[in-house]
Amino acid sequence: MPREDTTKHSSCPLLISGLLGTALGIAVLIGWYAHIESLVQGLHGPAASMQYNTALCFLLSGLGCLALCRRRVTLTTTLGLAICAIALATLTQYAFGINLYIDQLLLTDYLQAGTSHPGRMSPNAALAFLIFACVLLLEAHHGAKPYRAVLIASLSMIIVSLGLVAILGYAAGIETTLGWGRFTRMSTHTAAGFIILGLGGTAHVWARSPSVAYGLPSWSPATLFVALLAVGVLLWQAVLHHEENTIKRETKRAATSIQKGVASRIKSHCQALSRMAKRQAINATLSHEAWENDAQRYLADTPEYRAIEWIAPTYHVRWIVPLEGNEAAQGLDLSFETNRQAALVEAQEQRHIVITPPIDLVQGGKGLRIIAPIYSGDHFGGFFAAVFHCDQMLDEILNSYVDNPYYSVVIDDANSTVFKNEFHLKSRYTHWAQHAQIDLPNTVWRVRVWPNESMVAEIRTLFPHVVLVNVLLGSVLFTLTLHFMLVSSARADKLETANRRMALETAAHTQTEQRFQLVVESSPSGVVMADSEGKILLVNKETENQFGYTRDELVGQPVDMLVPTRFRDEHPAHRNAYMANPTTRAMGMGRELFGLRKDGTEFPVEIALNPIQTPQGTAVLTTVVDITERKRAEEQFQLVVESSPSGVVMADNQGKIILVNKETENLFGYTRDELIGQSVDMLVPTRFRNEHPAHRQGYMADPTPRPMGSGRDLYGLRKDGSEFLVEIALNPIQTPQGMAVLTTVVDITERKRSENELKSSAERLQASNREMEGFVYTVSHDLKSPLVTFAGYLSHLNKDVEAGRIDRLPQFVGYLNKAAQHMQSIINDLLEISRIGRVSNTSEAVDVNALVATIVDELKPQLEAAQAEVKVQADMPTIQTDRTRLSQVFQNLLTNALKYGRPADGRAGQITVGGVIEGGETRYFVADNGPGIDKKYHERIFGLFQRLQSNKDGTGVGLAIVSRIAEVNDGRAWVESEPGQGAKFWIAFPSQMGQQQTSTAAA
Amino acid sequence: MSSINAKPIHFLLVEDDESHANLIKLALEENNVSNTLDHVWDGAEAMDYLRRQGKHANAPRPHIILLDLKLPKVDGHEVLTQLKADDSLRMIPVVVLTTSGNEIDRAKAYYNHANSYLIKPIDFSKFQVMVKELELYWSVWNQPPIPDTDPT
Repeated sequence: MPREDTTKHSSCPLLISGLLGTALGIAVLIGWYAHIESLVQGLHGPAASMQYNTALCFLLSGLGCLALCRRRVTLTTTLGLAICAIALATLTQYAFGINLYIDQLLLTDYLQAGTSHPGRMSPNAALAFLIFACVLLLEAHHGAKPYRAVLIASLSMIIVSLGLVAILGYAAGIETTLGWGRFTRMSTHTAAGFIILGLGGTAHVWARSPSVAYGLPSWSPATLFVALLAVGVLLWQAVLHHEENTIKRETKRAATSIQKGVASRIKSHCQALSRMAKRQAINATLSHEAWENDAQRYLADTPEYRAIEWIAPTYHVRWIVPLEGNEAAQGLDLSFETNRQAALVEAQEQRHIVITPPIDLVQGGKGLRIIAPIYSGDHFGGFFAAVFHCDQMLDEILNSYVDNPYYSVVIDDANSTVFKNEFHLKSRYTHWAQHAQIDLPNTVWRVRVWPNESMVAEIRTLFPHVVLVNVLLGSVLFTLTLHFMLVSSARADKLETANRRMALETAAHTQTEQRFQLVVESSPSGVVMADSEGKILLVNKETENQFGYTRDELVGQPVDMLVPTRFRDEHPAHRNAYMANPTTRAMGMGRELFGLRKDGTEFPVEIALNPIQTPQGTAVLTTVVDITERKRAEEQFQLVVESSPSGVVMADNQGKIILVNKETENLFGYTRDELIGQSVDMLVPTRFRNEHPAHRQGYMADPTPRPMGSGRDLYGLRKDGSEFLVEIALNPIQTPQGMAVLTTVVDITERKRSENELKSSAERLQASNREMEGFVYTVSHDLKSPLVTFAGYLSHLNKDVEAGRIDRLPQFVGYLNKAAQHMQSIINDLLEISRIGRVSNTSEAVDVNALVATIVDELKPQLEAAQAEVKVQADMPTIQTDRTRLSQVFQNLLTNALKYGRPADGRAGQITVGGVIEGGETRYFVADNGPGIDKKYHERIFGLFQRLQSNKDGTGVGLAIVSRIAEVNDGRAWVESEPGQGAKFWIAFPSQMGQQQTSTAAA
Repeated sequence: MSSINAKPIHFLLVEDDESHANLIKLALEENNVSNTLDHVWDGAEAMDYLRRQGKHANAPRPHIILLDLKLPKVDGHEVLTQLKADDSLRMIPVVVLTTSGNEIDRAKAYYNHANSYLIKPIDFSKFQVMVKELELYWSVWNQPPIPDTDPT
């Protein structure tokens, strides 16, 4: 599981426990500093308080949780290590009994409540902090290691247990749960703090652990076990300690009772003896009998007296009561023994009562004497002594104060044992011995009391062990129960999932069968299932419709009955072949298939075969589709295509022709059979053929309906090799065999021609507009020119006439004449040129030879004047044209040759006229042997009013007229000339206009 | 008259119409300014004259060129173009003198750096005045460039 998710999930419990822990720590720290004892001691009062270091550790732990929430690994680690250090140091102090001076490092413990060492954290709290530090470090560093969740949860639960046991102890009044032994105890809020921290840690890992069942993670049994175990062990220990404490307390009480009892009894004896001594001192004459009576009385009151004696100042026992049993002591000199003597000496000298150490009585047994000196003033009258039998006396005392058999009691004075009861050797519980001290007038007795087996047995119960065993068993049981609950729940889930899946599968299976039935029955195709022998097993409704049989008539019959009789013989062989290799495929690839109806009619079908495994072996599921409609549609398609006024060519994606129509045959001159199966490239002119496959592939890459080769002129290639202009539209068409292209071809030769005509007529119109402009310009200039001459010379003439001057008259009149003639010829020429094209004469076959002969005849005077000779080609081609215009052409050309084609060097003018049919044109020429024309003037001379020589007659219209006539007849006029080589003027007419035959005029 | 101050200048007249050429000469003579004038008949001859080629090998450099536009062989526009493209000739002022009032002619002439564009008036008195003033203007008021001065 990615860490981002886990932090997101687990931040809530960790955040809460972190905040609570921090708050607790801060509150207690404030309590310490501000002396608010209720904050420091918690609910339980002065019995225990949260130590300063504990509060500090809570603060650090809380901050650690918060840091962990924010994934501040370094900070968490630092805090964890700090807690660890404090806890470890504290535990070390406890374990080795040393002082590291950390307990009151920051604050002096001024309360010292419930603590063995001022300011020291309780050992269980230190352990809990140590564990929590481990939890923090683990969580911060060990990522998603698999053991981590269970480890952290278990450790956290141990912390909870530590806190919980303390709380339980408070609740149950068993204070031993608060701490261990005599060490510092844990306060209630410390315990609560641990529960919060521990639960926080547990919840933290719980939240991000995947749940097995009941929302519990897989590690929960283990954690529960650890927690219960910790609680059990802690409780067990606590109850055990509690019992020991009770024993100790009881023993102490016994010791105290013994001490008080012994002290008071001995004291009363001393007082009695001392009273006796006083009385003796006052009444020195007291008789032996009187004393004896007195003593007797004492003895009767206090049975523990062995004897009461009067000891003479000589230390001899004089009187003794009772005498019986004490005969040995009668007259005994007590100085025979040091203890006795020392006691007597002391009593005599100090004048107070003395108690001897235990002595071996002459009467037998251990005993002791209380000796009271008798002084009457300074007169020493001996001693009264009371002799006690120790055992007897102390037994009695003990019996009256304590349950004697419960305790072993030993009373010692300075040097020897005064008393020990009969049990002291048997009891091994000396480690619980309690001590007391009995102060006597001249000595001190020490009392040692420890419990006997019977006393321990009475207090010690099985309860702690019962607790331990119960908790152990309980935790095991709980754990196992939880474990098996989880396991069984998980198994139940699995089982349920499996069940559900099985139910679904079963349902699906049933549904599948139903669906199969439904699908087969409602299939729009006929479905026939037959076994390997070809016997029909199943048919559907559509099969009945298709073949006209009822279901009953078909099932059990051979499928061959549905096959037309003409194919029936071969059908079993086909069936067997299929059964040998049963795959899903169409029947009769490439052949047309037919079904036979009951009424004997046939219909075209398409059949698909599917092998199907049945319990009875392999069967064949046959799907039959009646394709009558489709066939008809195909025929209609054929008809539509066939009757299309455009050529239709369908080609596959390889460019192979699949289909053509009649118009395609017409357009390209091929028959259908010559085209089908060939590449479409064959219809493309050879010069484009190389690039055509690339164009095709380009189209197949992006097949959209569009015209082919937009912007380019497209040509089709006919079978005879001729080409024609086409327009082609491309349409992609999806066929069962893949993408094909439906191409529509239209012959646009006619259209192109009309377009070209339109274009050329527009061009002609433009040219004639330009000509008009030139005409107007020329008129404005060339007609103005003579006017200037008229005005000028008339004015001069006028002045000359006024002045009577006539010398310049002929010259000026000559200018005027010339200008007038020029003007007239301009106007004539203009009229003439405008007539060309506007006035059209009927076209006729013209004998050009005859025409030229006539003109040459007319020009005879000029020819003679210029001494020029004209040679005419004998068999010039005749032409179908306007005779007048053709005459004008020759007139102008001949006149031109006369005017400008005369050799400059004085040679005789030689003019040649001829004609030829060449390049689809009928051409005529007029050539001279004149000075020739520079190439740069070749075009200009055909312009209106253009002349090369200003000193020659003429308006410059002649060649313009020739050019115009050629133009009007769709012909052309040009000149071939080099300077000095003469000039050859040509006019050509398109052949269609002319008769392509030689002239007959010569004949 | 101002003729006293006028330096004699040399005209080159390019005119294909003899009668027009004669009219211009007559008009110029009436001014009594001792100017000289050579007449050539077409554009080609004009260029020969200016470049001192052929029979014009000894032709003087004219001060002013009077140029008709409608000329045989090489027309006036072409003469202008060639002339103004020729470094040695471009500084000679050219006065176009034509019957054409056509705006294209006029624009073309100025485009080709004609210095003046005059239309021959049909009214003779006006013609007379125009030619006279033309002469006076170019010979008296106008200061032609000094030959062989490098303008750069």
